[in-house]
Amino acid sequence: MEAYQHFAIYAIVTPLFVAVLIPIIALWKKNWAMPLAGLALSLSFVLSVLLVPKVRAAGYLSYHLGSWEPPFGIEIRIDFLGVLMMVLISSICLIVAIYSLRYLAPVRPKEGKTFFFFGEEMEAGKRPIYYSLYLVLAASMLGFVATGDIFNMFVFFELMAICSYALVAIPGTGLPIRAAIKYMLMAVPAAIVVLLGIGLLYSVTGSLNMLDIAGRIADSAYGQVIVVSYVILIVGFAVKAAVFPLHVWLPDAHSKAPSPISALLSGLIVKMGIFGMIRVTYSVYGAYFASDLAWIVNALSWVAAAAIIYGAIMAIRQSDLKIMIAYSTVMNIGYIMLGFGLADVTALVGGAYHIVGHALAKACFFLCAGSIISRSGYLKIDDLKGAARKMPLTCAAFALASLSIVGIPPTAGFVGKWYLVWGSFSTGNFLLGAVVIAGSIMAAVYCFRVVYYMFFLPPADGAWQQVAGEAPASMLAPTWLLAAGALALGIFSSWIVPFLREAAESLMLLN
Amino acid sequence: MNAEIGCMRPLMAILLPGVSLLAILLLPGKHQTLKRAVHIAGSLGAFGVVLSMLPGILDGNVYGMELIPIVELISIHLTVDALGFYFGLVLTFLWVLATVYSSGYIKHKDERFYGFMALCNSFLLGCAFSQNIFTYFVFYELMTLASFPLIIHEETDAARRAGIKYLKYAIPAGAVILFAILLHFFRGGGDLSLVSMGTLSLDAASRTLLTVVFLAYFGGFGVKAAIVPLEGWVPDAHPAAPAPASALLSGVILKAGAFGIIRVVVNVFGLDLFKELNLWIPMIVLASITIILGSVRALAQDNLKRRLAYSSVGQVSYILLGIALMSPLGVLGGIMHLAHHALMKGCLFFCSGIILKKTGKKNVSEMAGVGYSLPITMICFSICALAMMGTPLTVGFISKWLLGSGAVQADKPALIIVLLISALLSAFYYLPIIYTAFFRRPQEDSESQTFQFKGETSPAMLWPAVVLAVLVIVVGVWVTVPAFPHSLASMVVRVLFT
Repeated sequence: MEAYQHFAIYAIVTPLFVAVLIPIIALWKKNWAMPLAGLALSLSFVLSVLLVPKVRAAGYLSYHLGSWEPPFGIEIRIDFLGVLMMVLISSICLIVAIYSLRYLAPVRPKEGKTFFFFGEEMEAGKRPIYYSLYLVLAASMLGFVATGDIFNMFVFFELMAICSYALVAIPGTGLPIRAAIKYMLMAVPAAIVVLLGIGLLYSVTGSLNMLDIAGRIADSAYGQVIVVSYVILIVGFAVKAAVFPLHVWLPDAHSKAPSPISALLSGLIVKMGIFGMIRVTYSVYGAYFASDLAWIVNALSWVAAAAIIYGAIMAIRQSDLKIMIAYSTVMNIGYIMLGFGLADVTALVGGAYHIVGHALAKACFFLCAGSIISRSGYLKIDDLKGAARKMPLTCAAFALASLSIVGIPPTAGFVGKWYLVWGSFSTGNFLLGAVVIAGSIMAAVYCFRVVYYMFFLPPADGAWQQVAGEAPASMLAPTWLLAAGALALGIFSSWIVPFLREAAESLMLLN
Repeated sequence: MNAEIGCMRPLMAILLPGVSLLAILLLPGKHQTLKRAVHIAGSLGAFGVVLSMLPGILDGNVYGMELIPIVELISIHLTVDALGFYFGLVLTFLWVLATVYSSGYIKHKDERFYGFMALCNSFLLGCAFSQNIFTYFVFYELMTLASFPLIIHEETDAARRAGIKYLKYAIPAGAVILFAILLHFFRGGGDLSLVSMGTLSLDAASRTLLTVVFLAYFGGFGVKAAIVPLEGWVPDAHPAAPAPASALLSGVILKAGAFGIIRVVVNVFGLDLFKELNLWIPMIVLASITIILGSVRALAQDNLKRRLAYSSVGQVSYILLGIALMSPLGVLGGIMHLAHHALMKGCLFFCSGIILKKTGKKNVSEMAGVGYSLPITMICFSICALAMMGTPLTVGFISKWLLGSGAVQADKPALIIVLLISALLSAFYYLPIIYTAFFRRPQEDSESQTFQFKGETSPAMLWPAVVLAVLVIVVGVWVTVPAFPHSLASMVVRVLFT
């Protein structure tokens, strides 16, 4: 066994291990939490990047935990889409962790200067817990995309969910706790439903390894069980993905959580639901995908169209910045779902590109919102008038990211939408293509309204006067990195799309 | 068509204004003069680089380079052919004058204005040098967004409303163009390039589909080109914007829409298919209605810039009318009018800005005696106003003459009536301005019956207007000098009709 084969498991286990270490070390050194978390995530990132060429050459990477052969042991099975997701997850987690440092613990200026801070400063004792949970969350997402065992996938899924409830509620005040409970009320039944689906599959196949299940259900006809278990799994993942109409937990959880956590929720965690759908559809149900289950997938594309329109209308109606951004996520999940629901290689490329592009742009949105909230305390869009006079760089990053959310070329958002339209046209769904374009116009309405307020309107009387100024560099740099990433992904899409096309083709070819 | 010669110059021309933008951003706030100088130098540099391609273009060369594939099969690709060069030359030239002018005009938040002006310059040049309609769309959309801050620069409520209205028109229009491109690409054969004379054909797609594609392109670009049901933003945006921005709006930004339609007709559909599908009928009808209606509505305006804006609505449709005639002289006239109108209207807006700055007067009815306090400005204004009416020895006459001959050549002599009515109406709304300025006594003081040059104290604003007014006559008299519109437009027409 060569060294690189261990990379995957190290990428997952390192953050888990450090997550345990952090609270212990914090007994003596409270300030070590963030550097340790950053180190662990950097290692995961480097290992994930190193895996890309290996996986690309071999097609997939299989690793048997404890050397137990599958289907008895747990298999880590990373295909091309999986490894790209690992790179995305580890990079965004790292960037947001850096942002968290000054968001949770702002530096107070020296004596004599007035300083106003309105944000969610976290007491020093809580910070190690935050980073610890954060690392478990990162590890569970990495494990979720890497595993080849469906029960193991469920375990990571639950782990991810539990960490996210805790992180949403971590400010410890009324509203975040209520949002977290609402989130739990939706997500716990969803997890049970996923478990039910896995149980159904296990009851007829006697296996938990995805590849093994796929082989067994392809051989013989199980009829209704296949359809029922598939629907159950899809619904379970759809709650996590906040697919309309199962999105009701999302606006509250996203807007009440600390902003770095909102960025992770919107940028990565909801995408895990979609990834789960894609994974079970192609890796488990591949044989039935084009026949018995085609109508379900097809129906999902119309659900996606409804999500796009609904999310956009709700986003336009909001007066609170973070809730607006959250509804924008509902809308963009619709785009990604559309790429999945059209069941076409090109559309899947579009969906996958949108996963990446939206992750960058939306995380940037939430980080900008976080910077604005922590410097000024303003939550309402109306209060953002004239924000660019005090915080020009943050507002500029927001403007750049909104180009990507709207889908103005040459940004990542445009590329994703282009492939989605291409996919819908080539499968003959002109109406869905039109929805994609119409969604862009509506996105322009809610994004550019905020940009317009920031840059072109004078502040209301007295507002923004006591605001100290721009966010610190350690918050600005992650924000700008994400915004620039969304732009760069649009400009250099021709380098990345072949990878994604390869990934999509290898998924579709499994059946 | 000759093969494309690989060349960095198109890219350089596009990047040069960006360099001045960087300088504006990075130089510390106290270097105001230096910033102005860099801003002017950037636009001058772009103009110089474009001009350096002139000999090659006149020899029939095509310069270009592929930048980067943005999605599969489509790349951002720059090409300078005769038509693109022509538009690029016009816009960079007007931009140089507008940057000089704005250094005298803009006193408030000038860095923001200069920055977005430089951005718009780059993006518009990108439009002019697009090798495919997709590249055109990318730059066109970016230009739309970058021109918004220019319109609302004064930050009054009226300016903000006008700016929002502009976006309300322009963003859906962008989506419609995107829809057309998508249909064109995925259902119309997949060739988006603008280098041959027609890439679509009836072999690849049905008549209905091609008609829908054309109407979507026409409607989408028609918003910028101010075709009549879609012109609503024009009369609001022009008076609200500062004078240099209005001059650029009328002079070249509206033309970007018209230029898009020219590209679609000439390079995407080709004149044969355009004729075969009878697409010229809606275009001629709408262009004629716009010409008449624009002039009629201009009559009723008292606000000078609003009157000029309605005049632009009508004048831009001259270009479309010329193209839709599909006769050599008509197309020649239409393409030449693009530059001619930029010269005339640029000067008129520059003059209106000087009047506003020096006397504070916005409305025509208040302008009694302005000709005496601002004689040079008003003489320039009068030259261009007369040119707009089609007075011989000016560029306006050349356009009208060619369009009229084109109408006869295309066997549609009835359209001459449209041109004549428009000329008559423009006499009705331009002559009163000249009359009021020179021949009506201001009520409050009677001493100003002699020319007073002491009002004309701002050379940065005056010279651009004078240069344009002189050019209106020079280009109108020495029509066929190389680099003047005729030489380039006739190259395009030669390729089209051989």
